[in-house]
Amino acid sequence: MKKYLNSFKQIVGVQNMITDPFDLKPLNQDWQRFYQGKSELAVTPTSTKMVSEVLQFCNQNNIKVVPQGGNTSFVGGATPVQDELILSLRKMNNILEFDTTTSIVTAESGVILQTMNDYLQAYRYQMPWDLGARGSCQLGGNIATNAGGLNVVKNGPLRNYILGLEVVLPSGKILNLLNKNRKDNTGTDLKQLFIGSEGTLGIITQANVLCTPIPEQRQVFFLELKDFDEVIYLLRSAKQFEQLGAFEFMEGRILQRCLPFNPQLKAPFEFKDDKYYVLIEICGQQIELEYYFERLLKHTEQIVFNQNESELQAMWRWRESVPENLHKMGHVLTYDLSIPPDKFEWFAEQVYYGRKGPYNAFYGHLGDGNIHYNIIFESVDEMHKEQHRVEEKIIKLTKDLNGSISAEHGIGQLKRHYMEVQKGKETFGYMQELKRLFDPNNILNPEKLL
Amino acid sequence: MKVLVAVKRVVDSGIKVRVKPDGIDLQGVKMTINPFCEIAVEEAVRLKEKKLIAEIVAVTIGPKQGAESLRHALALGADKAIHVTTEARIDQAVQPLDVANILAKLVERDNYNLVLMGKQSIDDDFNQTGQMLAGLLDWPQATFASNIQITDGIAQVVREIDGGLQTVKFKLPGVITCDLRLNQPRFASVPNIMKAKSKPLETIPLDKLGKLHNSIQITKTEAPAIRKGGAIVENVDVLIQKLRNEAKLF
Repeated sequence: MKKYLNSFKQIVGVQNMITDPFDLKPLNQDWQRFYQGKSELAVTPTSTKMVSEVLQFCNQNNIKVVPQGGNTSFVGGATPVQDELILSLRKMNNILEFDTTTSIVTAESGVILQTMNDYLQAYRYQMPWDLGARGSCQLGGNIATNAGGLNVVKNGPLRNYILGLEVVLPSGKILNLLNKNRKDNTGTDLKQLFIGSEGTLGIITQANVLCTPIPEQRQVFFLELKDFDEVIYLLRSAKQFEQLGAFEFMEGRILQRCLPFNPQLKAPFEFKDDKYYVLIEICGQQIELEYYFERLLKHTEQIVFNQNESELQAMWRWRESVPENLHKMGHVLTYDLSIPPDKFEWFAEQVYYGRKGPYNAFYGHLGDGNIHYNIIFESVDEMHKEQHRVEEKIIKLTKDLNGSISAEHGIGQLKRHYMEVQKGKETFGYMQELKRLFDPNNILNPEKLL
Repeated sequence: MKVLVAVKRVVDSGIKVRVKPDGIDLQGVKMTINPFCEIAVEEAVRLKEKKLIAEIVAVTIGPKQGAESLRHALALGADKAIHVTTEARIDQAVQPLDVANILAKLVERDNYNLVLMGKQSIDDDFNQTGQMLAGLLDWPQATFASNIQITDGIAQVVREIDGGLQTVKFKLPGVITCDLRLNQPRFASVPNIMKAKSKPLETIPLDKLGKLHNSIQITKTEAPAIRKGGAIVENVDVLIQKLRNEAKLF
């Protein structure tokens, strides 16, 4: 990389280059610290033109590039595998406009999700997707990974809300797919290829996003159930609620262990190992509490609900702090899968019979059939020893259930070697061809996804 | 032993308020029980669970919607509620001395052994009502309670004061106002909020118990000045110059 430093100085300017190893450290590592890259240079372009010039130069000189947004990937998708150039979108953080009639926002891809919401709040709108990493993750990264999150059960996938994109291709060519038309049936929708492509086909630099109104009222219920069957009966009822905003599941054995990590946080229940917990959010206009009381009481008497905003935040905090708390409990192997919701517990029991073995637990977006299954090891060695066996088992079980080996987290580095088996030779073949079409020199996010 | 817990309904502290020239805009704004009053209710419920008191009565002063805060208190564990009704603005026109007088009337009527209240409400932050009530009743008082023990009719209260913690002891009846670290109120459960509907709720028009004198006039309400950004200075000389000429410190 050293021989190119002067060239990059010409292209982006020394103020948009990071070479100090100390500053590069957090960019070279994912937040779970599974992956360690060896990049010696990161650039922080400030415009689409600059991104284009960087990629053009890299393509000509066969320099590998890792596009990086908030670096919040669960699968090592945003960090270098070797010493690739890191291209960070962080400085492209302008929100360009919001059309109040069509509720379409146009923004550069480096804007942080929370910042988008802060901006939209003044118009009583919000981003249609939401996830725990909202304070760090960026628009471009969300789109490149078709981020899932907490609102899919209500709004459907992120894809639904992307009306247009500006993408810089590996050649440096700027592909203008920006579009503020809600409906546009004029042939193949190219932008769909880039959504969820995990930065392997092009770098997203700008997007037109359809926003959703901020719900007038939000009400959260936290329920305690005796067994998993009860959870599924509850899910079936909740899916009939027109105002259903979220349906999140947590095993008692997780929440009970989270207690010491959230000492000041008001707990909805004295969480028990052998119980099952569900967070249901209702949002909309004129929420009729009695309607929900009546229907929820048919499932259990153990229901609490928030009386004010801070209680609402507290209940959500219990759910959202699960990933970070699990990491504090030891060395975590985490699997993000789509399987039939009623098979969640069965699935866990197949991986470790009788739930014995290392501490294992699941939680997740039950409303979407998206399970986060975690195994916690006391030592890194133990984890490495078990990883291969348990992973093979999990992948096989998922395949047998016709599920997805990655519901929302994507493939990145973590699940790359399962792609051909998951997709089948033919589909995988087409995916590789598309990659060759857009990136013949394989410079963009190599060794990821495909 | 019977306890009266006074609760005030205030704007939900989790939401952003809008300021109008004549006060906070209450139109369509989410209201909830004052956090310190909620702590008082929770403490009363815990004392009842320890079998130190037999009955908890929650009281609020305000318009129709005030009943929601009473139902919240009933759902947390209060036995009965009293709603003193008035259409006056609770955040401006219902003032400490008037409230204290009304509560004193209720105390005399129903013979409570203890009055628990929040130390202050988060809308006016007056921190006066409990103290005034104790004065009117000629009762001992312990304010800013962070711990309450009751044994054989004697209350021992740890108070949070500027220098640290002070412990006072007095023979009941008395008034205790509650501070943040006293407890963490429980969540209200759905079955309990439904049971709360059948608990006795007495409605009394305010003028049967007292009067609102409006002796304190609110002359102006404004939002805090927007904080100007800081600046990074190059050296100590520039820092001193700014402290002298801009911050006008010396």
